[in-house]
Amino acid sequence: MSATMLTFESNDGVQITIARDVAERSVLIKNMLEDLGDTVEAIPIPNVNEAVLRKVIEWCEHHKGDPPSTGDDDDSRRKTTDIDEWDQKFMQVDQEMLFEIILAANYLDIKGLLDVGCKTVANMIKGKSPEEIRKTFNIQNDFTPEEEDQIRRENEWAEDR
Amino acid sequence: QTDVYLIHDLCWHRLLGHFGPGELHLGSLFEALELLPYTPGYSHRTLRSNSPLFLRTSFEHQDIRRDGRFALPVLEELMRLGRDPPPSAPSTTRRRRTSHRRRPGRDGFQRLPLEIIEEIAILLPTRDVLHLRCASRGFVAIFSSRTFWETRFEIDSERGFLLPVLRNYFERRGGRQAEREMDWRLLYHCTCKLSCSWGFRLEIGTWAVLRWIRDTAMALHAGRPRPLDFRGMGLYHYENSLERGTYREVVEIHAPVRQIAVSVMHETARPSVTGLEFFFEDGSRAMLGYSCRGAREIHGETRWKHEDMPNPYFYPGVRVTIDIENFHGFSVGRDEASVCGVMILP
Repeated sequence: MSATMLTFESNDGVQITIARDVAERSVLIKNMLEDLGDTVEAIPIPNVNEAVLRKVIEWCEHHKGDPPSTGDDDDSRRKTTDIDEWDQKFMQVDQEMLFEIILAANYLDIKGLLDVGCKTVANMIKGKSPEEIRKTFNIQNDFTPEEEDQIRRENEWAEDR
Repeated sequence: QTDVYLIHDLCWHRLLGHFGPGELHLGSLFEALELLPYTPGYSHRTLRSNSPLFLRTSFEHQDIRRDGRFALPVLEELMRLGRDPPPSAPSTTRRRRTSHRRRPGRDGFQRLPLEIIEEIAILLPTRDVLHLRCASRGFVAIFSSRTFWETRFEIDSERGFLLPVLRNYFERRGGRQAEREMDWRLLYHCTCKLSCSWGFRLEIGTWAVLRWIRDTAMALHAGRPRPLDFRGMGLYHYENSLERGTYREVVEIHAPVRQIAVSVMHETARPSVTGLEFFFEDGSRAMLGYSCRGAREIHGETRWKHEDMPNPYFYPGVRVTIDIENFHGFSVGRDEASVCGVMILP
């Protein structure tokens, strides 16, 4: 009999208890539980802080009924950047959090959440000039003139301009 | 209102090829087909028997048809003019390595591992990805990502029209091995400017239409804004390539189009279109090309060219303004040197 509730500890030392089926949206944790068997101890999540972990859990709660991802490359072959409404609202967070969610989803191996994160970022980039992209993501231009020149030449080559 | 669409087996399979599993919904496909503009000039012009392109082809149809496709170039032919990429400067190469590692920085992208950078880039048109390279250090390395460049050749990606060409090539070269050795980035570079036989042009046009049908059907199904009703023509981000010797001007259709003005002038051998001006519902306008000052203004489809009239196209030419109810796009006819006609799709 496996435990139905599990406790996780974020890297800032906060313990959160959630249902096992929610936690198993994360392939990392699912595999870990298979190796570990029953555990009553808190499982440390070393790369994720409390705020991000709570956000990730919120997503997993909402998506716990989703069919498991097939791991088949075929469904990701035909890319669209459509995001369903709930996920869109869920992703309305500041950029720091957005990148943290993406990194956490990658670390915990939650493909669905990683996809939504990447699509959100992609949609923020679409159709923008380099300058507009920098503005959107608060990026400071720290390229040297030589680097800029190199990138420009590579870009021009790629598009045969 | 259409009752029924009859589609050839072959066409149906080609259309299906654009849809992923679970993506095809017959209801929205039907709606998308209803939105497909009727373009008599399009197929007509390509295959018109008195077209010089047609006459110069000495093959019989049977010889140049393969799997329902007309003559396509071989891959080696497409790649014959390729140049090597610019040599990489040592400074950017060095930084490329470190940028994979997670480290705090102002630029959020620098904290993402290359796999995620690739995930994001794959979702975007190449032009956007190249802009990203100029904006963020985190994306500089995408230039060397084989995974990224390979996705450009998926059926609903920019170079999806090359799939049959690639299939033929891999068949000839013994499959998997040739696939592994393919330099996708170089192929992308080589296919930005294309020399098109009419068969190849037809293939690209067909691919664009099928992709447009798929995109439109999926947008209708999801209740999202759909692409402009251009059946793929004129949606330049579709293939991001050009026919050799042509150039592209872009106009953003940001609001409904209410009027289009076509400027025509007889300068060289015959009259040609020099400019297109778009008038939008919100009062803004956009101009492609030019119109001569003092050009004769004509409004609507007047029967104005009488036989006894001197050629009205000589300098400063004419400018015909047409009212538009529903703008579905336009089709451009051209000869070797100029645009010789514009058809506004009904």
